[in-house]
Amino acid sequence: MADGGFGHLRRGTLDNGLTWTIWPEPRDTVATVQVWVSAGTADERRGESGIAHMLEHMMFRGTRSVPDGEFDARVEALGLYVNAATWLDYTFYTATGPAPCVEELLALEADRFANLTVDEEAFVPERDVVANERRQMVDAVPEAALGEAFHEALFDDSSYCWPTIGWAEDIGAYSADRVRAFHRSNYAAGRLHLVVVGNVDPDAVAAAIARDFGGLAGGAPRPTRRREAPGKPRFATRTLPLSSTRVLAGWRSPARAGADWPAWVVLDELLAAADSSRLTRRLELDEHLVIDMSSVLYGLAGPGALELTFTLRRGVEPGQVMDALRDEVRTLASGPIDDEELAGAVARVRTGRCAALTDTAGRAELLGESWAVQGDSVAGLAIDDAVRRVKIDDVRQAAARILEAEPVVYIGEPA
Amino acid sequence: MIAEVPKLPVELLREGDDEWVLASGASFGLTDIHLVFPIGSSNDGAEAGLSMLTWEMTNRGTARLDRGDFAAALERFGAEIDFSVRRATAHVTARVLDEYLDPVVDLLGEALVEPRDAADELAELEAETAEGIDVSLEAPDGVVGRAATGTVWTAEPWCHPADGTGATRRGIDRDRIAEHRRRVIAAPTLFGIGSEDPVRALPALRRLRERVRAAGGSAATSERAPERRWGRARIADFDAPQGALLVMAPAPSPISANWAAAVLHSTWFGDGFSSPLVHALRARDGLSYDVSWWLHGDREHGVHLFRCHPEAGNVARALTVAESVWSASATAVRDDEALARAKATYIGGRLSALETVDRRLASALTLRSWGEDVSRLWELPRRVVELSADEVAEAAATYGWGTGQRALVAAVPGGVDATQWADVDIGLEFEPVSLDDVR
Repeated sequence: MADGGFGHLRRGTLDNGLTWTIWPEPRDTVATVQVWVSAGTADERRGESGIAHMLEHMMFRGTRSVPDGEFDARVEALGLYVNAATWLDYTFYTATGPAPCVEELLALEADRFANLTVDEEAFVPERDVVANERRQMVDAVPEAALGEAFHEALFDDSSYCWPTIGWAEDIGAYSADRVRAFHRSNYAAGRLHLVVVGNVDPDAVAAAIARDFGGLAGGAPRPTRRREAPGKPRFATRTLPLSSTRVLAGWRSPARAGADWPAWVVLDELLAAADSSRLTRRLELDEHLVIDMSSVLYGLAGPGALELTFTLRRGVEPGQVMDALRDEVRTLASGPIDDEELAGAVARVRTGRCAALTDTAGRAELLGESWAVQGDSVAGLAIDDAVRRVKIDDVRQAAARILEAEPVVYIGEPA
Repeated sequence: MIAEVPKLPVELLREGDDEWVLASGASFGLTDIHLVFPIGSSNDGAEAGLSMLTWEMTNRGTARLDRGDFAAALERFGAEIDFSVRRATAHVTARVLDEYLDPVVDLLGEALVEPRDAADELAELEAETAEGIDVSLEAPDGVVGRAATGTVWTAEPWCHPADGTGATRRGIDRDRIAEHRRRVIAAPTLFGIGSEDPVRALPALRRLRERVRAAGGSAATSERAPERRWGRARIADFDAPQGALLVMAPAPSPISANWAAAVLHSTWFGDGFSSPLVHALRARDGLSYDVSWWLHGDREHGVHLFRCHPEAGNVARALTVAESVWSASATAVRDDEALARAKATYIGGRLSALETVDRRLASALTLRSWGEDVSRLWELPRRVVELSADEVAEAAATYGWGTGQRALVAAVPGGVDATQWADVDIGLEFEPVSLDDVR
């Protein structure tokens, strides 16, 4: 499979609006099937934060034809590993296992999209599981609680602002009726994309998709996403049971499909994504001001964000980190950037893209996420070509946008 | 019909006394390099953390390049290098775009044989390690993880986490690290290459091998594991809304004849949402989102582990539910349909675990580090599928909770005095563990 050569991919659309992509690869020893839904946290209503994630859990808890517990038993009998995930723009369901099981799996998947029941008997303990998940991942982790508040401020004018797991009070108030309603409104054929990757016969798989999913209702267009009223504080300090000070800093960035997105990818690589990135090298390797730092560039259907997280060494003040951050961004905006640095950024993006392709689930996720946030399943395969075309001036412009904008900065101080 | 793990494109190439493990397949333009040294943290003696510090320092510059310049040199090629240590082995891995193989292998060699080992860098590493441990102890899971080894082992260095404690790391200086590294790289080393065409990478790797061989001192020899001690329950007083629980029990070694049956029973019991354990704790009782049940081992012995994160006041209840499900399992495992499902789950898991060139290479090298043939990658699954219900039921009595031996670590508000233990007889000797005990 040559770099950039993806002509062997097959894509199609059913009459009900469901779309699909198949990547056949005879050398694979397994296959992965993923069903992507263009519905996530951003599609929730006030008072129902996290309901997209709650529905994700209930998708495993029974349909009119497959009772609760049977779905897991059947997929495990096929030797399949299954999982699911919810994020801001989408939810996806994934299964990996022996390729001969694909057609039987497609039938099971179509059933749970068409016939989900959300029975009270399964719903109540599963709601407890979700509450447990929130406690484990957020409430018991002081840094995570800070991160939630930061995220809410960073996306305060956007439907991305609240946590995918949901606020605790909303989780406690979920009803089976409301979960069914979210399923009805959002899980229609026109909002689904199927991805099949692996040692499969593409003609047989395409026929199975048409047979199993062709009867799914097309559904209404996606409801308009809610608008949020901005106004969360852009700066906050909280005292938490931490051993070290944390600093979270962020700026809004373009949407993933935006023309300047690749420049932001390069900016992130030059600034903070790697050990030799300018800010990482300065704060972690040279001046030893942080134990650890990380960057996340949110690639979303709408405007995203660049988020930096720092764990400070004892005795270091947040201002030292923020001063260094502003310095390095200023230098990127107006100082020298040499070709070697750019070449390194391109090489790292390429290694990352190649690594994602090495397993069937990674390939499927690349295709599915590209569909969900960019509207085109193959768009993500071309990221390193897009990054290769980025010019130094493009990076400077992205850095200048950071300098012009007031960041959101949240600090967690040890109690 | 249950699938098979096919014979995989993994081979051994012998050149005189040197052995190469070669894994081929679709690699999408990447080459993976693995080096496995047969000396791990179990060799640290009274200096628990020595191996960790040694391998961390290997990634912090060379004689020619300081830490930042070394990182920049590697990342210019998009290369990823990792140095890590386990109990019995140390691992160096590199992932590199095919066209940059030669310069990255040269940099790797430079790190291994001409490391900078700067005294100021070591001082920073020690400070970062101490502060990083404190960060890990902010959540109950961190306490439980760090207290685990000291619960079943009493001898050093086994009784400490692999990164040691402040006390055990004190006194480790750059000379000690340099000496330790020379002895480790002089030990017989396994080399592995994963790529579309691994033979193409041999010339560069031969040069690396010779370079490492020339730089080593007198080889270290691996230390045998001491006897384990069961019957303790160490409980930390940790005030958080969610608790943490880890239970350990003896298991056969992965190279023993009993391993296949233990693996299949373990899969049946706790792998997958329809398994009795996960179903009870999660779907039925809603007690924990995360339920983990797995076997782990090396050449000498195995351990069985159970981990979950119930609400803080429900840890004792989660333990009693899990143990009651185990008690019922000796009969339940004779269900043919459930056993067939477990076999399929196991095979599916192995297919995924061996899906990529990199994963196949890592698994093959683990087998070679135990002196086992790489054919075990596909022969063991065949053995598992052939097992009868009787054999699996017998295995349940010989490993894990079937032995009657176990140890546990928990973190709950109130610690050993928490009222949730009052009505629970877990048959173990309670003792408190504090954050300072594991720092």
